[in-house]
Amino acid sequence: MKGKKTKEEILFLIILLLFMLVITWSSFSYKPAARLIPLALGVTGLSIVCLQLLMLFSPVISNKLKFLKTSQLGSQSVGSPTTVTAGMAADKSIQLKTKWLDVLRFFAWLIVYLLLLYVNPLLAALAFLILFCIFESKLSFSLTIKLSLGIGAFLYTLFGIFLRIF
Amino acid sequence: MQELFHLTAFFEYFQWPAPLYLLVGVSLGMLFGILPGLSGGMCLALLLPLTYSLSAEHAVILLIGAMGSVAFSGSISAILINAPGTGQSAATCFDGYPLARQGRAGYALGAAGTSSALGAIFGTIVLVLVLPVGRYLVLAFSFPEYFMMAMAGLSVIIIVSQQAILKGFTAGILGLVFSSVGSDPITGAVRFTFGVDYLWDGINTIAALIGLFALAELVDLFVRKEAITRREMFEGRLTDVFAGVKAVFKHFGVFLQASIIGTVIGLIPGVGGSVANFIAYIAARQTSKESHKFGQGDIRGVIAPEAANDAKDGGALIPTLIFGIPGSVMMVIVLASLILHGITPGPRLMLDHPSLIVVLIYTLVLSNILCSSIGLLAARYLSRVTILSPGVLVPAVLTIAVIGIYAMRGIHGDIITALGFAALGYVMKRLDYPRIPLIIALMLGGLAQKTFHQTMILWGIKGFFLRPISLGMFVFIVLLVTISLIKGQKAGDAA
Repeated sequence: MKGKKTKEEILFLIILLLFMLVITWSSFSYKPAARLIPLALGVTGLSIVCLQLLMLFSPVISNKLKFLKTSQLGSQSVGSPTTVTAGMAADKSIQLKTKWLDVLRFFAWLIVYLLLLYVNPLLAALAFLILFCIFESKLSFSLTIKLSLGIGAFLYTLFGIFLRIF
Repeated sequence: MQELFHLTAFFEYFQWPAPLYLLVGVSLGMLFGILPGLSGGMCLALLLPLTYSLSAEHAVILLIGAMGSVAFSGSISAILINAPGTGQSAATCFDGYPLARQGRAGYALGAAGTSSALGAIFGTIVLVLVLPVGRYLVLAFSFPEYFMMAMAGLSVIIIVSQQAILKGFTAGILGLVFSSVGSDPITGAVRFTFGVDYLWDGINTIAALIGLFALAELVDLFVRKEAITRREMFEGRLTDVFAGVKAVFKHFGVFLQASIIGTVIGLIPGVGGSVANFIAYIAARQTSKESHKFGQGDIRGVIAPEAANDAKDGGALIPTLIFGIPGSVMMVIVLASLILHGITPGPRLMLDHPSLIVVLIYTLVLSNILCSSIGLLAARYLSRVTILSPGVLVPAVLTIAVIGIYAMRGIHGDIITALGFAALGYVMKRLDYPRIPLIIALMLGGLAQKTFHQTMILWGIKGFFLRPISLGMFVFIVLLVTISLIKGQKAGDAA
């Protein structure tokens, strides 16, 4: 499982590396005052990403610079999901088992919602909610109707009647 | 100013229908604060036309009522679903959400509500005391001090990342790069838009915030198919909410320190809540002997940002009232309302319209007390959100969050931004990259870059070190970061 995570991290770092390269390269096209900070950020970003990649590929460098990695304190950086509580230790293993297909399905739903918004925002919200509850959450018909009516009425009152945005 | 301390003044101006306006303002402020995507600025902009037919005092009650309740309400969603309603509630996520995951959402909400109300009272007392001399304080701050303030906020990145420095720095650099996107406020150059017109205005911070935290969290819930809190861990008792209330008094030093920080930062126009909550958080963390507990559900990590968030409102009114310089979008609308009613903010305001100042001050206190009371009463029920099945919670929150983002400006690009940040947030969460440095850098990067250039143009590099406040802040930041790194190193060695 650790190997899978390392592969994912390498892929993420390569994407970051390309992103930082584009940022650094683009910075040169701006006037000196406008490029000063972005260029500094691009170069710093490139260095940090390269260092991380080197540490992943070379155990020797990784050992020499271990103070830059996660410490052995048992706690991760603030805001990391694994810091939440000791009782959440099981979460990590669950997380690693994640199928990327589920993640893609979630984003596919979001894209459906985005496309529906081109028709009418309030109808889109209602349609998305019903479709998601029935096909994804597999909620009962009555619960789907209750949830959709509740949220639909709330959104219509707020955005349609009160704010008059939609 | 004597009038401020007389209860007769309070009863004189709070006769019917004033309480109704206060209730309407607070209710709407709470609604806009809780819903991710809707902001306090939007709420006040919506209420502004309604104030045309009201007296100046009633207009102020309505607007300040809404303004006072937004900050705490934004923290409710931050604690319950890791989705800060506004940028100023971002730091509350750090420890609020871990507490919710441990089944102690009521405890966190109790502490947040109490800390918010008391913070607002503290800020208002300072407002009353400082108002006569406030102009000297406000004028002491210029671009170098703004820059140092932003740097103090950015130094949080080093402090919160000390156990994964490289990952934290990567996230911070990413945030700073994202904050550079769009039209540069000083040179006018359009940077990193890659031909996309939408990016000319830069990256929408609220959409990014919702994507990075709320939507990424929803992806995680969707994939794990587990509620935020396991039922067996959930503590939905009223006693847990009261334990949160008590925690504020138990850690009164943390509260007091954060309130002072919030009030001082509030004084500075243009800096505001997004800096106040981060700085209060690091101050609480750095002054604690158990700093390693922060980020894992330490109640002091909720008390500090909440106190600073609400204390800053009192401070922010000083430049608005004395100079007519609004420090935030909400203050712009309050100012616009005053001008619409023929009142010109300035040094003579206290002499010409003392009643208005009385109303304003009492409303700020009352709105916070009312909002926090509602929050405390509802905390027990609100916390049940955390045990809802993901099959219900995910579509409900997703529907509201996306429509909230779209309602901001009616631009599809904002949803695409949120989508992009949701993907990034999820990957970062999965690979143990802290997301907080990214959002801190995104929110403060613009201010840091702008004030850096302004200082360089006006004074050159020496501008940062010749002004006493700026120099003092620089020394403070260096000390803060050094002590933090030494502490982190010692903790690492001990382990």
